[in-house]
Amino acid sequence: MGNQKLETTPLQSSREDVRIAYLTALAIVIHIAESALPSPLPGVKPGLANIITIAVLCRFGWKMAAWVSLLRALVGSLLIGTFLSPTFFLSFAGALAAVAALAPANRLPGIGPIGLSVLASLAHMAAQFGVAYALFIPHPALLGLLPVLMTAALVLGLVNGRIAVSMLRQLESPNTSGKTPDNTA
Amino acid sequence: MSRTDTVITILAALLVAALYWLLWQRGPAGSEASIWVAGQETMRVPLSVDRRLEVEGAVGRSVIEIADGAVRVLDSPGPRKICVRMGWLREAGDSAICLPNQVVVRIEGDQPRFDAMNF
Amino acid sequence: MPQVRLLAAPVLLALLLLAGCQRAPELYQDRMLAFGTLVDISLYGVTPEQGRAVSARLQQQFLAQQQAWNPWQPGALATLNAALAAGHGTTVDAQLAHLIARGRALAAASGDRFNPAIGNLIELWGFHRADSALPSAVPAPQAVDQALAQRPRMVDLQLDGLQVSSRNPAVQLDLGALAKGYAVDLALETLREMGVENALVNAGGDLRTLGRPGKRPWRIGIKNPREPGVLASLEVDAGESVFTSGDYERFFEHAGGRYHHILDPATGYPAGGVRSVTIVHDDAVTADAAATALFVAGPEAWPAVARAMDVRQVMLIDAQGRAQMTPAMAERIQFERQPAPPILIRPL
Repeated sequence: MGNQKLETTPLQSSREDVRIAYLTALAIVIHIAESALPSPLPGVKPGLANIITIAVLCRFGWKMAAWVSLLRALVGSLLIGTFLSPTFFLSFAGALAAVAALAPANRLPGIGPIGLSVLASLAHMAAQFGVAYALFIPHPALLGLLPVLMTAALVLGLVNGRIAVSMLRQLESPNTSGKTPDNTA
Repeated sequence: MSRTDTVITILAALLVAALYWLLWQRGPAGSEASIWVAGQETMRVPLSVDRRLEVEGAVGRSVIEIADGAVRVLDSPGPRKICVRMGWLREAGDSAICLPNQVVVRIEGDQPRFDAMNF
Repeated sequence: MPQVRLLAAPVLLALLLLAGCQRAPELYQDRMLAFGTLVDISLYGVTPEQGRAVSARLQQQFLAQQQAWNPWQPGALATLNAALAAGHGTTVDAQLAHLIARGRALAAASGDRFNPAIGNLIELWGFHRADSALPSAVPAPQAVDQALAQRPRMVDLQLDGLQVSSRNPAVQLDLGALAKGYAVDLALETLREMGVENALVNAGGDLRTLGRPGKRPWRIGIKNPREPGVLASLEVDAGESVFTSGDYERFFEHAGGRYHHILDPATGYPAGGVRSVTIVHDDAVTADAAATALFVAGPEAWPAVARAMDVRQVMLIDAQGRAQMTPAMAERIQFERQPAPPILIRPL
């Protein structure tokens, strides 16, 4: 009767799941913070959240990085309120391109976070520019901005990569906090 | 930074440099007007700055006006004022020819759509 | 090391791609003042040195032709006209002879709607000089009638090799409606001679193509200076010419009327009812003459003249702003302006 014990399966979050959730949240925060930055071309962003993408890629694999990145772009835009706006299309295209570029890039022998970050950053910026040019401002004058944007992408790619390296070192260390509510370490 | 990373970075830098070389010829690609006197191109003016200028030609001064990304010949010596009657020039390839003063104003810039204009 | 070898592939690919970027059809462009207009030449697949050489040769060629075929400045044609007026013949060079012969054939085909022999009438109106004062008035009707009464016709000319004479001293040749076409055709011959395979020569809007700009057809925009922007576009293949005659090229206004330079040889007054005629044809001389002939023929009668001149691709914008065209032209023209003008298809 009423005393029948309900079989509950405790939700097992592994340490990994928590880490990924944490990183995704961080990525979203960075994404939102970045939206406050001014840009030479409205809506085109430096892609700082790619630090997270690269870190996740190196630590958890491409599939996970793809998830985190695209989720970040979607959730981020929902939270800011720009979902399905031009800004969203730009950032989503950028995230998509970065993720797509990382798949073959990850196979290059000897590639590290910095190389990956550079490639992701270039792909991200190129895709954003492409969408901006094709859909919003197909004016030849815009092409003059592309070299400048790509230079910034290159520099940022290097910087992001460096930060990702530090982040990865932190993630590798078993002593870092990763609170696991179930305490099954 | 691994060796691969270094190679990637160098390639990326080359690619970006190539972009400058491709797209930054004569300033960022954009609409300009070229002004020719006696068959020689004497100057180029961007259409982004509204202004008026006078050009010394064979028989006098032609007055050229730039406004709202377009250019026109406001006045030019000569009885027919054919180049004045051309009105505003906007698209790449449009030109106004002031034959008596030997002054030609032409819109330069990419012609992404047409190889030539017929009129 | 296998790592380096694997890395070499993308590096090579990147370099190849970058090298490929340079290989897009090299375009050399130049422009020059000739025939009272700006002539644009676009050469594909030539080095800058070749381009400069071609440009210099064409410029020389155009200037020489301009001088030879302008009846209102001292030159070969002016000399011929003076001789004809004086009642005797003279010898001309091969090119001028060819031009006159073609003019005569085209005049016949057009039923004399294209009539380069009416130099006197053109002078009467004052459309001949590029720099003189605009005609202040319409010529007196008596003067027009008098010029007409003399009936200068191309058939009055006798061509014997390089010897040209005329039965009718009133014949004064103005080859303006033909000269640009011939200059463009000859320019193309020179280009072929000089080894250029792909080019476009655009003499103030009247153009002819050679080869192709890469793997696609030429894209030509058609403008009517009465309206801003592009009216229509055309894809043009290797060797085709596009010529337009319009009532906006040379005109003056007087006492509320508008008088343009395309005179109807039958009436002595500017041809009415038409704003512009655009012809696509292989041969520039035919295209040039037909554009004038069909303009004169008018918005009703033009198809018959087009048939007679063997011109299949015609667009005529009449005074009501309606675009009349042949089926062949309708198939290939694309209107860029919305709304497109009313279209009337007239099979030949």
